[in-house]
Amino acid sequence: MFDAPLEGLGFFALTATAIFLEAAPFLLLGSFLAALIECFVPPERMQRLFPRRAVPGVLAGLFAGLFLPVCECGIVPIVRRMLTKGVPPASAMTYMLAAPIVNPVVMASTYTAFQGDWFMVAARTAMGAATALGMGLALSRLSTRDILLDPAGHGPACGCGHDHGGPDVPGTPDTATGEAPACPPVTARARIKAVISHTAGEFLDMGGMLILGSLFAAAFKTLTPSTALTLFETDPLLSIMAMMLLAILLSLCSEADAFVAASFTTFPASAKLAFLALGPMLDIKLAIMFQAVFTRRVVAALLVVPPVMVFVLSYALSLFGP
Amino acid sequence: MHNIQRNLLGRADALLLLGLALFMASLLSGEAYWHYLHPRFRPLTAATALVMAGLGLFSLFRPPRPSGGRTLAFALMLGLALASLPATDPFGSRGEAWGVAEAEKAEEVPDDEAGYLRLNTGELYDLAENNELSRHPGPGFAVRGFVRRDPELDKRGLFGLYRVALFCCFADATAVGFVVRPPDGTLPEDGTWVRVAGRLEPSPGDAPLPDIQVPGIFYASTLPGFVLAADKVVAVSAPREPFMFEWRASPPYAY
Repeated sequence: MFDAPLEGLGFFALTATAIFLEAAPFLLLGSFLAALIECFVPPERMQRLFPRRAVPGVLAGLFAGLFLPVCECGIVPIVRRMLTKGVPPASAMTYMLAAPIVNPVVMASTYTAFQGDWFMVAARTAMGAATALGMGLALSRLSTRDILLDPAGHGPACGCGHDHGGPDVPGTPDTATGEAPACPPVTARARIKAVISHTAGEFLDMGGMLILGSLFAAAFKTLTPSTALTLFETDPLLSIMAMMLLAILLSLCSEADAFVAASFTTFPASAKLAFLALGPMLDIKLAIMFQAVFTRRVVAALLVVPPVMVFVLSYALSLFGP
Repeated sequence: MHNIQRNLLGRADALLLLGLALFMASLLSGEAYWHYLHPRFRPLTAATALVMAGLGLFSLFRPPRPSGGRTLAFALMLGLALASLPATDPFGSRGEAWGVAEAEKAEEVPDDEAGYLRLNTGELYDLAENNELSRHPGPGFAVRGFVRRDPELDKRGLFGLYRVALFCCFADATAVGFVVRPPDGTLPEDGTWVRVAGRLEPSPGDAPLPDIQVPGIFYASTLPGFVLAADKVVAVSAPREPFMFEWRASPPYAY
């Protein structure tokens, strides 16, 4: 059963399709929530929910992750919409990184995968929270214009064709017709149409990025022998780096990655934690979504700061932990 | 971009959404679904297919802003999805090839496994890892899985026995298994499904196990320090669902 000549291609197609099928519902949910925010939540209300000062702002972002859990597949469109509605970057960016880790579903799956090991649950949550808080604070001085490629929120994701006006450019005229912005629309029927239109546009836009990420992850999984990884399993430093790289390349869902990490029985706990903490914050599909939404400076920060923080925390754990 | 071109690209996106929704619906109506995703996601996939079909229909009449790259990505995805059908049967049976035309129905409990604790390779792996083997007195354990041969193992008269655990989707699947010492030294053919009844014994010597690869699966966990000393190795058909979707910590085990 393992000798068909086109088996590699079959596994590639199967893996890429499986990743897309698994992520699509969550991306759809994220797109729908983003559309609801766009069409039903006025910027003033959104801004009132999140403090403008940095420290309370990042803490609010962290708690939002706890109580509004969204996995990483759907988080980017939501955060983009939060930012265009005037949510301070400190809160929005903290929320984006924390929500896929600091949420009850992921904690439960980690607990199950590690057979009731509370240390793994607590350490993963703490590492994710610390990294998200650090990034939130680092980005707290930036404005929405500094963070989003398209702060007015009418990028290719938007299906309605209106310029919605962002926090810094309120009520700009419609780019297509020159009329006043009609989103959020006035009538219920028009609002429903706008929600559907926004959901479709957002899903198509982010879905394209998701597909690219799925292809890369599937290619890596199909072409790379696991022996390449097991070479590093005995050295704490190298094992952490190898597992971080694996987390980025495999692009697993944060609700399933704990089971995969647990199966690496010969790797130290610190390396498994590095895998668990980094994957939901940075993987191939997320990196592709980031570059479609955020400015180069922010993308660079998102590609560098979380891995560095996770590495430092994991290595410290390997030195001083159990 | 010309208006007609814009509309065409937008409508192509709509058709691709509809195509992917139909693909999901076709998976749900057949048995190929579990090749891609854990069966617990069926309702979620059904809802997603429905919503995507709705969005596709809506977008046909109100095309979204066009993007050539995006259309290409969705077209590629639909093409790959269709190319993956009929789903690669990576862990299907080839029991006949081992000279067992009358391969047994794996679902039936055979008489010669009476007294053995029947469980899947993941469950047995956990029992060994947690030092709980002694909790189960009796002649030993009965597991089933597919065979992986390796030149290093061949030299020692051993073979690998694996099942694949699928937690969410095929991308996160890992293989879990043991090295097995057959009772008469006859090694089954690579890729065949067998059931094995025997005892877990400490592996003799300090020679480390080779890294055994399972095609399509990124990582295979082989229980270190133990050999499954088989009392019997019997060729069987692959189970209807060869993946391990359930992994229980206490009896009754999933097998």
